Amino acid sequence: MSAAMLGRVAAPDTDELDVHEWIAMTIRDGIDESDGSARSRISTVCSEAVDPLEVAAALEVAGLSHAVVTERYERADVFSLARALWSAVPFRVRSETTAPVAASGGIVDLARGLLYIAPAVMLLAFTSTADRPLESWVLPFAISWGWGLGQLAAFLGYRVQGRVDPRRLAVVNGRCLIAAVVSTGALATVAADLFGGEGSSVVAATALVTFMVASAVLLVKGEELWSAVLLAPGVVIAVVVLVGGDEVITGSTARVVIAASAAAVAVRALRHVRIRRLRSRSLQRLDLLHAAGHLVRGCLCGIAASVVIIGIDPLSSDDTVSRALLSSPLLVTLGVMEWQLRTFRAGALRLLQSDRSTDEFAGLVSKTSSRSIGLYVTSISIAALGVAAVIHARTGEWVLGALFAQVLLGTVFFLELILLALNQLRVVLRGWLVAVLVAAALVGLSSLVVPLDRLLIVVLSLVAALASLAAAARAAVAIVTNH
Amino acid sequence: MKQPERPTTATSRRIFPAVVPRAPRSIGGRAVGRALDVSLVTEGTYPFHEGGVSVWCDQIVRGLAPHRFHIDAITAGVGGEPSWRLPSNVVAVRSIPLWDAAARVNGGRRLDPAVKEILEPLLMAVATDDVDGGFLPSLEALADLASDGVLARSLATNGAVDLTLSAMRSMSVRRPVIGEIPSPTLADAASVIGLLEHLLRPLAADPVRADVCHASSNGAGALVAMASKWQLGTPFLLTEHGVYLRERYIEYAPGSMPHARRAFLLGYYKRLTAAAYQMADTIAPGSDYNRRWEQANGASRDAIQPIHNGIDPGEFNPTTPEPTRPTLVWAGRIDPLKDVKTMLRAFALVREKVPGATLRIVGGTPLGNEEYRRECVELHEQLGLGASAVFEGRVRSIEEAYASGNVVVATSISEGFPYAVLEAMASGRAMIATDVGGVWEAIDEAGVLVAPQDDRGLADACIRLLRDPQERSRLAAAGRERVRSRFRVELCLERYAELYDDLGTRAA
Repeated sequence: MSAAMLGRVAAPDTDELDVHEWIAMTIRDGIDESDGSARSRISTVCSEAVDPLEVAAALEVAGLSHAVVTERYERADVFSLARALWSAVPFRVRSETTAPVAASGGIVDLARGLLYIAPAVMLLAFTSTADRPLESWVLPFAISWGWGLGQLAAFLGYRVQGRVDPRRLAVVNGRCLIAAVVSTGALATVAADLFGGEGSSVVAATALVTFMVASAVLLVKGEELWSAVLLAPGVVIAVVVLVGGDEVITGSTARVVIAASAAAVAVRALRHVRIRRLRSRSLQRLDLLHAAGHLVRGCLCGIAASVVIIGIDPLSSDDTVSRALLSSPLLVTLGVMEWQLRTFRAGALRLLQSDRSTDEFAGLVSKTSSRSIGLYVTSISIAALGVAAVIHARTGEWVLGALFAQVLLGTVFFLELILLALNQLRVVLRGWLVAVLVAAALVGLSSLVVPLDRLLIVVLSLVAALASLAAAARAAVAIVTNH
Repeated sequence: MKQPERPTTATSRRIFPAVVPRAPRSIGGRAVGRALDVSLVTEGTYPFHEGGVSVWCDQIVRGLAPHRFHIDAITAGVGGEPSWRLPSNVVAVRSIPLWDAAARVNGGRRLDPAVKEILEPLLMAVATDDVDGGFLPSLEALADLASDGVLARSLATNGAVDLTLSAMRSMSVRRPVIGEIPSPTLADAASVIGLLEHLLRPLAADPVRADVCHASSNGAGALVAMASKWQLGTPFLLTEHGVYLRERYIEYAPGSMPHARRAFLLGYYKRLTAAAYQMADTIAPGSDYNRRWEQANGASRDAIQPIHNGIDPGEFNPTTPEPTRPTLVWAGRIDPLKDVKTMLRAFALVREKVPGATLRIVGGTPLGNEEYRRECVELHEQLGLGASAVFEGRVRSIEEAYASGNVVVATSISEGFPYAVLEAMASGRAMIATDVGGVWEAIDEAGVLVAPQDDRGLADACIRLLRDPQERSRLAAAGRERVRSRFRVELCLERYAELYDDLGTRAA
C-alpha cells in the first residue's frame, strides 16, 4: 500500500460526531448535513464513495470490524452496512481537488535570465583583466564540456530527486562534481598538449566546468537565489571593470573577487554532496542512457554557442565594447526564453483543464506555441538589430550576418527547450544531428569543390536544425499525452 | 511483519525446513507429486524488497524446494540486485518494470480503428461498472497487442485520450446527487490513460512456460498470470495477503485526486480484481477476512481456500523473563498504516495510571515516511512523553525486542494476516492488537483486540494487562499454544504443496 496516502488517515476530531452516532443518524433517522453539523470522519468517504465497497473499506478503517458490525448493528457483515449507508447518503463532492491554475511566465523568469548572463559577464571581465589571454581552445572547450556535464548533472539530479531520496541525490551530485574535475583536468591536459598552453589553461578550464556543474547542482536543489547572491559581488565588480576599466579597481583585485564569487557557488554546492558508494538501484541503465543523451546535447549546445559567438569574428575593428556587445542578443534574451517557455507550458496546461476534444486542443496549443516562439524571435531580433546599430555607430561596420546566426541559434535553443519540456530528447538529438551532418557536408563541399564562407556554413546548418526541430515541435505539441 | 526491522539483506534468515511434495501417487493412472515448474509473480516485494509478503515468498520457495521457481517480479523500475539470498531452486528472476525502465512511447494523433474496437468495451465496462460486459474479453485481446508494443503506442495517442474522455463522461454515481458532479477534463483523461499504459505493462511480458502460475497479489501480478493462462493454458493460483481493491480504496481517498480520475481508476481496479477472481483456478487468500472481501467483489466461494501464514515457533524463546519495569513494545515500520500516533496517545494515558511505564517503539522509517515520523516525534513532544517512550529504529533482533516487554502492542488500521502478531505470540508475550483484517483470526481468545484509532480503548487494555501478571501469563501461554497448533509454517507449506500438486496435475 502506498505510504503517500496514509498520511491522510485522520486523527479523531472531537468536533465531529462519533462514528456510531453518525451511522445511527444516517440510517435510522435520515440525515440532514446541509448545515455541516452532522459530520463524521467517514461521512466524506460515504458521500463521495464510488462504490459501496469503498464505504466498507472506510468503515473498517474507522474501527467497524466484522465483529462490531455483526454484534452492534446486527448486520451480516460490513458490506451489508456499507450498502445501507451508500443508499442513505446522497452523492456529493466535498473535497474536489482542482488543479492549481498554471501561472504564465513573468518577472522571476526574466530575472532568472539575468542569472544566466552573470557568468558570461564575469568571464568577460576576468579575461579582459588577465595578464595574458587564455589559449584559444580553453573557452570553447570549457563551455561545451561544462554545458554537457551541467545538463547531465541536472538530469540525474532531477531523476534521483523524483525518487524522493535526498541521500542518493547527494551521492549523485558528488559523483558529477568529481567527474567534472577529473574529466576536465584530463581532457584539458590533452588539449594543452595538442593545441598549446600551460597548467594555467588546464586550471582555468577545470574551474569553469566545475563552476557550471556546481550551478546545476544548486539549480536542482532550487537554490538559484543562493547562486544569485553569491555571484552578485563578482557581477558588480565585472561591470565596474568593463565600464570603468582599471581606473576604478585594479585588475588583480577584480579577478580575485570574481574568482571568489564563482568559488563560493562551488562551495555552496558542496553542501549537497556526499561521497560514498551508490546503491545499484539508484540509477538504472536507461537513466544512464538518457543522461548520456543530455551530455551529448549539452556539448552540442556548447559547441554551437562557441562557433556562433566565438568562432565567427565579423569585426575588423578592435573596439572592445563592440566585441563585448556582439554576444549580447542571445544573452539578454535568455530571460525572455524562460518567460515564454513557462508561458507556453502554462497555456497548454490550461487548455488541458477543459473537456474539449483532442483535435481542438491540438489547434489551440499550436497557436499558443507559435505565439511564444514568435515573441521570443521578435525579442532576440530586436536585440540583434539594436546591437547592430550600436556597433555600426561605433565602428561603421554592419555585422548583420553574425547576428542573424545568433538569432537562428537562439530560436534553435528555444525550440529544443520546448521539445525537452515534452520529453522529446531523441527528437532534439536528431535535430542537432541534422545540423552536424549539414555542417560536415558543407565543410566537405567547401574544401573539395567550392570554398564557402564560414558564416554561410553555420547559418545553413542552423537553418537545417531549425527546420527539423520546428517540424518535430509542431507534431509533438499536438499530442495530449506529451504534456 | 518481521522483516522491516531487520537489516536489508536476508542472509541471516533461518531457512525453513523443506516440505517435500508427497511421494508420487496415481490418480486416474496419472502420476502426481513430481517436481513442478512454478511461475511465482510478485509485486513490489520478493526478491527486491523486505516485508511480510517477501517473508512468505521466501518460505514458499525454500519450503517447497523440489519445485523449481521462476520469479516474475513486478517492480517500479528495473529490479537491480535481489535483497534476498535466493535458493538454488529459484531458477530465474525476471523484473517487469512498470515505470522507469521502459522507454517513453510517442503516440500519434490517430488510434488504429482495430485497437479502438478492442479498447472501447474495456473502458466502457470500467466506466459503467458492467459486471457482465466486455472487460475480460477486451483485456485478453489487449494482451495480444501488448507483446509487440502496439498497446503502449496506441494508449499514447490522442485517439485513446478521446475514447477515455468519452467513457469517463458516461460514468454515473448510481445514487441521488446533491450539487454537481465535476465533469472530466482532457487532463483527467490523459492522466488516466497514461496510468493505464503503465498498469497494463505486465501484459507485455512473455509468459513463462510453467506447470502453475502463482500470483502473490491481485492487480498487476494477476495480469501476468492471466496472460499466462490465455496464451499457454497455465493454471492460475491467486494468493492475496492484503486485499488489493480495499487498499486501492484507501489509497485513492476522496480529495487525493479529481473525482473523475478517482472514480475511473477505482472502477478499473474493481473490474480487474474481479476478472482475476474469475480467471483464477484457485484463490488462496491469507485469511478468512480476505475471503469475505473477495466474495464481495464477485469471487466464487467454491474457488476460495484460505491459507493462513505460518512461522517457526522454534525461532522464539518464550522462557525469557519479563522485565521488572512495566514495558510495552510496539514493533513495525513507522508508517501511517501502522498508526503510531494512536500508540503514543494511548501511552500518554497509560502513564497516568501506571507511573514508570515505558514504551519501546521498534522499527525503521521507510523512505517517503520521514514526514510522518516527524509528526510522530512532534506528538511525542506535545504529550511530554520524554524518555519513557523511545523510538529505537531498526533493531538487531526482533525476537529480543518482543521479549523485552511485558506486553506487545499492534495498532495498525489495516492488515492482512500479520507475521508480527504471530511472532509476538510465539515469544510468550501477551498481545494487544487492533481488530483489523485477519488479526482476530490470529489472536481469537489468546490476546486482546481493540478498535483501530481508539486510544482510550487501547490505553485501558494496556493498563489492565500491565497490572495483571496472571492474565498476561494466561494470554501468553494461550498465544504460544495457538501458534504451535495452528500457525506453524509447515502447515501453511503443506497446503500450498497440495494446491501445487492439484493444479500441476491439471496442467499435465
